[in-house]
Amino acid sequence: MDEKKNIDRLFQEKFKDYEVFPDASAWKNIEKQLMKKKKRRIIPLWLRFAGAAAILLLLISTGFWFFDQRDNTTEQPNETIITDTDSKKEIKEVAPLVKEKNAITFEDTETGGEEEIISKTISKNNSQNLKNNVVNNPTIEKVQAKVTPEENIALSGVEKEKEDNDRMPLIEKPTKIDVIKEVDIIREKINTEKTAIAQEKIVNEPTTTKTDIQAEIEKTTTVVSAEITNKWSVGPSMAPVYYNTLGNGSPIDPALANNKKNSDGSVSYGLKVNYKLSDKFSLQSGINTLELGFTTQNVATLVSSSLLDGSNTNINTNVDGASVTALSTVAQNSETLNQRSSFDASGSLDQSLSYVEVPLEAKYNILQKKLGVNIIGGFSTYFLYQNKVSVTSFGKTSTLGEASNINSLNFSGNLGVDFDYDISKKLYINISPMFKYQFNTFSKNSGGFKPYYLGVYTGLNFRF
Amino acid sequence: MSLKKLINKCKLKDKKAQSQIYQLFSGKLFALCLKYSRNYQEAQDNLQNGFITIFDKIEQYDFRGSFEGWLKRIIINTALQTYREKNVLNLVTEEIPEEVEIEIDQDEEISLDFLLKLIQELPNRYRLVFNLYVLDGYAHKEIAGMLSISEGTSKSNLSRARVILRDKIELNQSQIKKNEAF
Repeated sequence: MDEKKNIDRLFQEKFKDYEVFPDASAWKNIEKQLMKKKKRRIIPLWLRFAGAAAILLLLISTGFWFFDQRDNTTEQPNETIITDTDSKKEIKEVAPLVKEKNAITFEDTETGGEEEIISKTISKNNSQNLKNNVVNNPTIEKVQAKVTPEENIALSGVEKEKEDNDRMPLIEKPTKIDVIKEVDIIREKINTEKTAIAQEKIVNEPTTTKTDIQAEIEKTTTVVSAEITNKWSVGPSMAPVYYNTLGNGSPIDPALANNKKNSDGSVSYGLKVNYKLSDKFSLQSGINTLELGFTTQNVATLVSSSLLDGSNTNINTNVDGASVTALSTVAQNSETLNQRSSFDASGSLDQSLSYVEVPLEAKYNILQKKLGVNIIGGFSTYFLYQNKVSVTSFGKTSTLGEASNINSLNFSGNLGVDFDYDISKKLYINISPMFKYQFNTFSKNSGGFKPYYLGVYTGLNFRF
Repeated sequence: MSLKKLINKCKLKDKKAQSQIYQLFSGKLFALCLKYSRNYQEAQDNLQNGFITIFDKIEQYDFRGSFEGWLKRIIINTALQTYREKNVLNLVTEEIPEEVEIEIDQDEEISLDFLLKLIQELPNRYRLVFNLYVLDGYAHKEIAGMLSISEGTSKSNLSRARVILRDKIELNQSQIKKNEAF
């Protein structure tokens, strides 16, 4: 008996109420994925927290910087500086700038003319660092304490001079708004780069493969799930920094080429972000504030209303219409100089450059036991936000102005070693001594000065 | 606990509720997966991905329309996505034979497993259209949109699918008859 049946009807009837219960492994896999998704949601919290706090701090510092700038413009003669005992205080303290104008005249018997030196005395604290630190709020003692012993002797000289000054602890947080914008742009660029890297990443072998077939299928699926969990880590970092030059010479004035120079130790603070590309490789970036300063010994400066012998000094003064010449007092007979009573033969010139640094580095793992050992290489971009030159003479330090030959954007090549230690599954600390050699710090007349700095970066990192 | 309560709990990512929803619907949804996939493994994969999407999107479900329908649509879309990437859905339009009739013997029951196997053996483009139209009730216009093909292509894919299925069934039927004869 034949019954013609429409094929559609045949299938429809057969598959009506068709039910098949899947293997138990199906639910297990679903659960696993759901767990992973949950973990991913927690990331933005941390990131947002860190990011928001960092931006908040940047904004606050901008506020302070503007506050500074406003004070800078009020100049009143013969104001006395409010003295304060500084010594060890928390960096968070801020105090307004106060100025004093002193007019010193001296007679230059050789040229027969009289020149008026106008100097401003501005108090300066050696810890001028922006603090982006979110989680930890360490009290930082005098920066010099962090510097290696050999430098201590040299620096204590500088320190003493500064301590002798009547000064006010001052926290300058001079971040320009456009620097912040640039920083944000760079940050975004880094983020998009990172997401691009993440998307390009090959899907690794799943960690729970039961059968080979399953593994093959999972490879061809479009689900891009991070097989290495917790690829991101973020955290604050700080580093004591020691600045020096590979070549001799002075970027301030060729006359100072052979003068002794000492690094002003400082501390660099920032935020570090690390993304794990593979078991061995990770990429890191972040943002730091960095102050590089050094002091040139045996310098005397002349601020005059006219160019003195065609000055080669790369300093722009704060005073309108005046120019600065730096002289080395090394060759001079100090007695002769002292007779003039105008030059301090042991005076010094300090140059300080403050940057916002955005590093981009690759980290390669060599050893991973309880303590991990890695090599780090990469480069950093620097945005200059402060450039200061000050002179110390007869125990008093005053700001001259700024160096005229500094690039506002420059780069460095970085190389270092990193040691990390897991405190918990989500938390690890790291110590990374790094060597960073700066390129194109100076736009011209670097005088053979090839700056580099060494920093020992310590940080706390949160994985997510 | 009512289904509505269960769904609301799922919206809050309640693990137990999610597990229960899975228990309630995985049977039907896995059957659906089997029809759209080429084999058991692929079907399981599809089911897993489908449920992830379900639990992800459940907060958007606003209780309008049947929940089961909503679930099925997600599973189907997940299945289609696998093939979307493979880009094997296009076919040149040919003549469209309409109703295809097959002969079956009343006594000879054709097993469901056999029919499932036939469906799974169909080339992707035919299988998807056949399922969507015949088993899940979509119109050619909708299918065209879902598979990014023309309506004509959808119709001809369906016809060809029917032809293949009919031929295989008839072949099978005649083989059974032959065996019986001995």
